[in-house]
Amino acid sequence: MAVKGSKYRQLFTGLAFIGPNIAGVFTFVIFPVLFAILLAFSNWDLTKHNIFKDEPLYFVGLDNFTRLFNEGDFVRFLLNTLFLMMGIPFCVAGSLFCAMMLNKDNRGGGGKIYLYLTASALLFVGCIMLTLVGMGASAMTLLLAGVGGTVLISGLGFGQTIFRTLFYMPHFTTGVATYLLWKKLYDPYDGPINNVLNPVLGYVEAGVKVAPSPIVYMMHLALVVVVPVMFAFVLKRVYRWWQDGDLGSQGAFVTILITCIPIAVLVMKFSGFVHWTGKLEAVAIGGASVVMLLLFAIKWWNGKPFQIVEGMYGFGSALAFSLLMLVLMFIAIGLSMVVGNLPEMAQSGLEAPHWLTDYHWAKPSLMIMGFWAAIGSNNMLLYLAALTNVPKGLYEAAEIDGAGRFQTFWNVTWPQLAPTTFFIAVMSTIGGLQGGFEAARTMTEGGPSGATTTLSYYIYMEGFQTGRLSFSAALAWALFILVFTITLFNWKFGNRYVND
Amino acid sequence: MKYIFLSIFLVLLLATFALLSSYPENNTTTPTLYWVTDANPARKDQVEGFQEWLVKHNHVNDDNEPAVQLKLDTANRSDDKIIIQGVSGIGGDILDTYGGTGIRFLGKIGMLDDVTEHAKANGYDVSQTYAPMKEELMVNGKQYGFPCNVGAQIFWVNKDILEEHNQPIPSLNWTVEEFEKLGKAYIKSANKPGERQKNFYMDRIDLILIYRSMGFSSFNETLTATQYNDERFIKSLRLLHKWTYEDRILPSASDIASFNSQQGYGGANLQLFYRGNYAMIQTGRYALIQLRKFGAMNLAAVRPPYLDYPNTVVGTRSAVVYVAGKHKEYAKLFLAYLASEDYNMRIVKTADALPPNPEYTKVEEFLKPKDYPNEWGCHEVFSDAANEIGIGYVYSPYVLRQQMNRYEGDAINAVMSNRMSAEKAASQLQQQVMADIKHNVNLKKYALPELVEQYHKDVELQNKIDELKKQGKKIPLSYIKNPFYRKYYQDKGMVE
Amino acid sequence: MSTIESTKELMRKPAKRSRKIFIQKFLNTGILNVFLTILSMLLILPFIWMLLTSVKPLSEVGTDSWIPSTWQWHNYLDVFDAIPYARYYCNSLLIATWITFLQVTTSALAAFSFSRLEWPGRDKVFMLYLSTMMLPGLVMMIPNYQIMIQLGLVDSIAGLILPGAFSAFGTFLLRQFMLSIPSSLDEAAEIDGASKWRLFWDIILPLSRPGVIALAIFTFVGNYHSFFWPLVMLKSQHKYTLPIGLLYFDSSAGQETNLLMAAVVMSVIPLVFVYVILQKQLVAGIQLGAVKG
Repeated sequence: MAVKGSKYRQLFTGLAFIGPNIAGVFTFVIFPVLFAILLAFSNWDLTKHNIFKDEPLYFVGLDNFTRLFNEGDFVRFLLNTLFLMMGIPFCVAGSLFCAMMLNKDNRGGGGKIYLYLTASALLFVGCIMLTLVGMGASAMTLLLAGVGGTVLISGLGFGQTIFRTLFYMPHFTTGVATYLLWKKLYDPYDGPINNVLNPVLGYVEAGVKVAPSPIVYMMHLALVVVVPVMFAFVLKRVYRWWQDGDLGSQGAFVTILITCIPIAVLVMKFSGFVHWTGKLEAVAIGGASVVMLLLFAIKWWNGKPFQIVEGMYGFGSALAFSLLMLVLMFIAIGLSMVVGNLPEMAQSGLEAPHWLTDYHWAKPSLMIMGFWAAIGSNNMLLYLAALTNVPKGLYEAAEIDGAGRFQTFWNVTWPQLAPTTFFIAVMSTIGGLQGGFEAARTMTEGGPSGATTTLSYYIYMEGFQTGRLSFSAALAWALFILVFTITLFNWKFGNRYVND
Repeated sequence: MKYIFLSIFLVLLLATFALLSSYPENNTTTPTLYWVTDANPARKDQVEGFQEWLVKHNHVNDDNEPAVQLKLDTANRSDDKIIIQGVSGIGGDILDTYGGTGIRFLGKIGMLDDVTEHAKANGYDVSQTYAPMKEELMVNGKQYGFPCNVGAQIFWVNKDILEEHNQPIPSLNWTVEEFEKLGKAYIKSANKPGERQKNFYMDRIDLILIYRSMGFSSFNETLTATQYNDERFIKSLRLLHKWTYEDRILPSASDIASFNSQQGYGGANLQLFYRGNYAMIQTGRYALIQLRKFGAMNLAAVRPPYLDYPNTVVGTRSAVVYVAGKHKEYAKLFLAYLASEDYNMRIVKTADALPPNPEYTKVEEFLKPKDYPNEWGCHEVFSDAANEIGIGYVYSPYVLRQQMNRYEGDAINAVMSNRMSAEKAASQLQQQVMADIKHNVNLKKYALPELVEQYHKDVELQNKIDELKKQGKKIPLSYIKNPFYRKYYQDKGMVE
Repeated sequence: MSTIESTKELMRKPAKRSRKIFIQKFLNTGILNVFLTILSMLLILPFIWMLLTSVKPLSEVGTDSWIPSTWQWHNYLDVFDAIPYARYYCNSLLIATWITFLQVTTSALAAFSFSRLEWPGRDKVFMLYLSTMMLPGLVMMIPNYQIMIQLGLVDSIAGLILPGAFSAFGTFLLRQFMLSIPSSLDEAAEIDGASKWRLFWDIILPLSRPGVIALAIFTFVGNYHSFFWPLVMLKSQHKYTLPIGLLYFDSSAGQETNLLMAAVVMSVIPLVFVYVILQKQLVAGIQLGAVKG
């Protein structure tokens, strides 16, 4: 029935409303994007083409992109970025943990319990303060205890709101201001962190010196043993998924391959085959192949009808799982090495790390700061909302089945939270790949010697310090391709999980 | 809702007008020049000097006031900001650059005004300053700036602290072996055993001083290639590492970090030098600005220790004129002022490095400042070094110096933090820089034909030089483009 | 008798059990509260240190004790002498508010068009919008800067506001919200003879209030923290925003950590303010944004 005129009219009204926005989006988003595509394939350099100079611009094809891989810096700074992103799983886990704590009723359901709680909290805080005063504690201890007491009592008074606010504060205020704050906190000699850490390390040093060396060595070995145990756990899980048809064969191989890396590191460390050094990937791939062959052998031996699915099916969750285990295994290896070297280190005196000025500590320092900022962030609020949406009936059913706490979490809560987790994982990955500029510019200037230069800081440096605009644009597109691939990947392999 | 919208809009408009009208307005009709420089207190004095100089040389307006007003801009000093603002057409009128790196890069962008003619007419061409400055200020025969000051890298010595520990004061020319021996002895007597070491012999030594004293330069004679794979370069890296970690003559990065965190204006190392944490510091004459404030110190100055060939690096902070500045003519006058007696005598008095014009290093006020007898005998060390053993930095037209500095810094850092062996760092560095050079000259799309042509000519020349060197013959001086080798070969009698 | 006995038994048992449950519940919640307190203390320790350092004399900054010997409140005033802090403050607030205002307005208009109006090609344009959300801002950095040069907006407040005033994300967020408003309202309005503008201005916009407020908070906070664009764009010191201005304390000229901390405290205050007042809307908005990101 629509007359031609009315159609135009519709279009006109529609565009009139969208007009101001679309004009802006075209000028500041779409046009720049087209511009940036051209830029990445040209040889635009500030020294050649700018408002003062107009040397001819050429179309250079993929030169900028091939150069990016030949120069080595790109890979190096990409690895830096990925290293910093290893903190993300911990941040997400921390957020989930906080959300679960906050989701519990902290007033005991009100009524009599609440009264008793408040009364005993007051008593508790009062007693502690009095004891501290009686002991002649320093003003600082008193102050901290006082603040803690206030938080406890007001937490009871106002309920979850006060805790939620305190958890959320670090994230909400994160910016240049808090980066400068952390820079001062990390100060190697005057910063409060090392002021606290140094005496503690002094005690550890004294303890290690006193402790008989076999004990220290046993602890070292125990930590080493943890790694194969974790590997066995991974194998068990993967085998189960594979057997149940939750995971394809190729997917299983990749997950096992990933967790083989720490094992390969261990083997190389203890085998004494010096000539193996530097062939980590060969060892890992070989190990993973052997393990896969063994799995096939077991399958063939048992002769049971398995639902074997080929391909990368169910890869997303298995990948996330194996990456998490990878990080945990490396932590165990790192700890074992630290413990193993403790006696030697204690001899020369333990010293607190120099955080941002130390090449090896700079990245972990930024990760710790990131954890602080991310644990109570939007992710926590999202989890909190998702938790309240979990049907209560499911928990009741689990309770009737006699499921323990961990089982309830694993079988009820976790699957229910899957869509949220998926969303958070995608957003954090994208954010992580693009992040790091502000911290690098304000805290470390990308140093020490490039240790904290992430891709975004590298793009800035190439654009505005060496003036290679085209190369910088090519870098930015490479970053985009990464983000895009990861998002696609997530949709392809993560969707199964979400649609459950 | 709609009233909220409208009222917010109105409030915003009002606030914006209020804010915009509160911006400092330039009511005066006299044009204003902005000088982008660092936040050194001596700059204020230099600005006043310019205003007086203008009046003296009759650059005045109708009211007999200086025809132009000079203001400092210290917030935009960082390199990235200078570039960003430069290419946007809003750069400062006069920019400070450090040595030839900035001049070359900004010049390549086209941000700098060619002052060659004006300099000749107004007496501030390169003949008015130290000989090594010619390489820094001139690119392809065009002059782009004039030094604000010139600095020769010399070691300041805290005589008191050496005497306190019964250590000898090093002689003006000394070898690396002597340096090492004295350094170790000092460290031993100045630090208590079992405590964190707080006293060091020196604050730092630039790697370039060590390898140049072996007759090595990072570039070859014609600037077509770097030669980091040389054993002399590797040896210098090893020496630096040894002095820092084995002998503990020099502080490590974390030692420095611990010092820097303590408060105080400007370079913390000067304060540490005054307090005796460093017995010596490697710096220019400008250290005196701060040192004089701390109080009278018993000072001496010595040249850097050498292995084979005594020399030192001469650098400069020079002023350049922004090409899109509104008052370029006046900005160029500022360069003329830098060459004048007014400015040079101010530098002499405030001890802001060496005066750009070497004439003023011969006056009594420079050599023996009345109020500071403790410095007598030190000043000529700086001026003599700049004149006799000073050589500027080396710049190649085929690679960006700042990029090279980054690679070099990373390599040194990797060695100094024990992440890489000196050999590996050197070969990696060589690879990185050569890849850049290859990229910059081999593709016609990236390089102008003239540059490519020149490169191939230079490579041929280099082959000739290598041939001559192999035969043990003398090399024609005109072949050599690297300023270091030019002086080195001359001093060693290897050129004809 | 046996029945009486058994009823007594029945009555006693729950009482005993409920006391047990009561104690268990009491202990559980008690431990939970202590635990939450410890966790939140760990998270706010940096802030406590910051507050205490901001009132310390300079000489005590690096010392072991967190408590200042004299509470030097005038540090807060000294900040205003060290840098033109008030000006930075005003600039920051004004720029962030302008961007918020413009972005909310343009986004609401566009969202209305995408959700309530029928016009040919609408969904295609919307897909285009959505796809731009995936692009990293860094891709646009250099072209946007070149645009600013061409427009002559470098080193101007307008140059900071304009690129932030139009957002695909904001449009998306508000569209989601407007879609949840029942369409029967439109029909009713049409029957009354109301124009599309009236429909938007009098009905849809007031009903989208929670979404608008959530978007406003996001935009304001994001732009209040904004660092990169002002860093690139601003030259004149009197136009600096807070994040850029604070960098002064990171240079060799400004080593006064106590003043830095005072400045940081003051810069964080507006955010705390915004959060405390609007936290409910904020939480709602975060969920809205995540519905289908």
